[in-house]
Amino acid sequence: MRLLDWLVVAGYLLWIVIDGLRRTKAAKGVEGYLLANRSLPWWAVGLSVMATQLSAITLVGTTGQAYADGMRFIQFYFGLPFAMVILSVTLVPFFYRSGVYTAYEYLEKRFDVKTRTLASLLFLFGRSMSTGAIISAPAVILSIIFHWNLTLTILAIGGPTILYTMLGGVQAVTWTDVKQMAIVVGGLVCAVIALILGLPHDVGIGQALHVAGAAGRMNTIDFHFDPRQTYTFWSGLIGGLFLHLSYFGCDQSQVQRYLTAKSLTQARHSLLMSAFVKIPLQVLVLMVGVFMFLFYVFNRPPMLFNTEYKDRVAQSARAADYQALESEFSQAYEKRRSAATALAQADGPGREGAHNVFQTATADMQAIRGRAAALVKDVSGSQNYGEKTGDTPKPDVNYVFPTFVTTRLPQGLVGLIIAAIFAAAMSATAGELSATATATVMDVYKRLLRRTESDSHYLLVSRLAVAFWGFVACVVAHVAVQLGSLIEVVNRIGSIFYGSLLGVFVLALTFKRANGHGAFIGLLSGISFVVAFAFHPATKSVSYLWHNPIGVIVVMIVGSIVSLLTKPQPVR
Amino acid sequence: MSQNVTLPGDERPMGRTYLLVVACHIAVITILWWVGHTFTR
Repeated sequence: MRLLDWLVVAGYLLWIVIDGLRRTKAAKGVEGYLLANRSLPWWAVGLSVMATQLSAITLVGTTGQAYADGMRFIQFYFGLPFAMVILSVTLVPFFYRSGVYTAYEYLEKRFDVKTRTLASLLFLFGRSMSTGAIISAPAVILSIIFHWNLTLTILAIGGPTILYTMLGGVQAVTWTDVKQMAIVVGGLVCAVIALILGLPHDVGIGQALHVAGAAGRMNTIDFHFDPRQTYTFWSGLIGGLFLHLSYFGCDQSQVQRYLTAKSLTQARHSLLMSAFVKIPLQVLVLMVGVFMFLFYVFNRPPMLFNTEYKDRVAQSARAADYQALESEFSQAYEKRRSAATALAQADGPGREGAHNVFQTATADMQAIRGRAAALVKDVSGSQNYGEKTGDTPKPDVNYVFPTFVTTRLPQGLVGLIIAAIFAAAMSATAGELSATATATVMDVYKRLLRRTESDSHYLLVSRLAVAFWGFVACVVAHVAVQLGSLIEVVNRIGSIFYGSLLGVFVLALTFKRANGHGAFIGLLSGISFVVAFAFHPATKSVSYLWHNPIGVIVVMIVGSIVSLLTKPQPVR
Repeated sequence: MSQNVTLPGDERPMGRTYLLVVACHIAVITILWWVGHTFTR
């Protein structure tokens, strides 16, 4: 990074913190601090909903995913618009009209305090883990690429976020989210433009996309039904529907966003904004990955993007082997570039031949990359180098975008994209901190420990809770590094609980006879079953997206049976 | 702390908006399929 880039990043951090702190005045009283006095316009809430969901993992991991595996990830969101409509009709009016602070508060109104507490604690556990992952993902990548100190990078992301969330509350979170979304989208658009300008002059965009298609990068939809595949039409539509129902309907980090809206209609509109905008936004993110692939078809890519073990390999007995692979890779790259140019310009009967030559050249290049990854695995002992995402070594996936940004973009734009990565991490973290603090204060502290304190007391405790969960997130960020593919970590942790949590809400809304015992035992059974299902050798290959419908079904069945076998509870 | 909240405009009918969401989503899936089909051939 050069001086201008540093100035852009520093300017962004200063702007966001000052803007967040300006909201401190509006955060008077607990309702103002946690729910913005239910005064926010739908578009700000809608952008905040999307900003909370769009973390740096999305920016870095999803672009890398598209580079390695193409567009198929988009299918993950196919259930989302349906989930938004279903929630707008069902849960949102319940939450909004009952005037709750947390989604779990509703469970006490419908069932009992133990069900509310269990649901809230599950949320707090899951979210404290995933908030750590949200911070650690960009921190690890930036620290490796720029040789920054990992702890300082984590603090650079976590520190300002904790500060403005703690002082400004949900108002600060929402209005900084709006600005952070603008920076993220602006950064993505700039990246796409830079990538298109990086294509050779004699290759048009349409021709380039045909080259991407020949390498399997334009595989948008896969109609095969295979529960082991995460990204198919059916897993996205059905598994994704349940995941998004759970995420937007039962996760306090999302529920809290739309509870801040001015009215029920505005709360609904804020959710429906995601239904319209989320998939196009995700297409933009994925197109950055596809165009990065094309950029590196016509410009020499590094043999391996992740440089974490570069020095160790250079000092090992295998250094000469690695050097030999580097020159082999350069030759293979030149062959593929010629094949790609020929394919882009091929027409008529010659096209199939050019297509085959390009695919062979791509396979040759990937084979050399695979041998390089195996060599790094031998030297470093890192088992991740034995795995692949698409045709790319798994540890490389999250480093493609940052490598492109830092080595190929002009001064100033590098700073903007790094600021966008910071913005994405901070907006997602702020939303989570605000939500975990709300659940801690409302579902645990106020409900179970101190019920009759003053408003200013709860406001102080809310601020301390933000600081506490911020500290926990920074600590977890240090240990989350080893959890595996960053893009799936957050969803995987969430999926263990999400389906079962959704099951309790579905039970509450659909089965009048359901009681507190049924809901509580149903929830415990759902989670136990999903954990066993996720880790059992016979079923662990099933995609995590299917854990959500399974959790719902188990909670519904067990919850209904237990409710029927136990005493009915009085109608509330 | 919890209280019942009722605000003006609370019950605005949303049926057409929901239909629009579903129609747009089907259109988006169709476009994505077409793009994938066209550039993968």
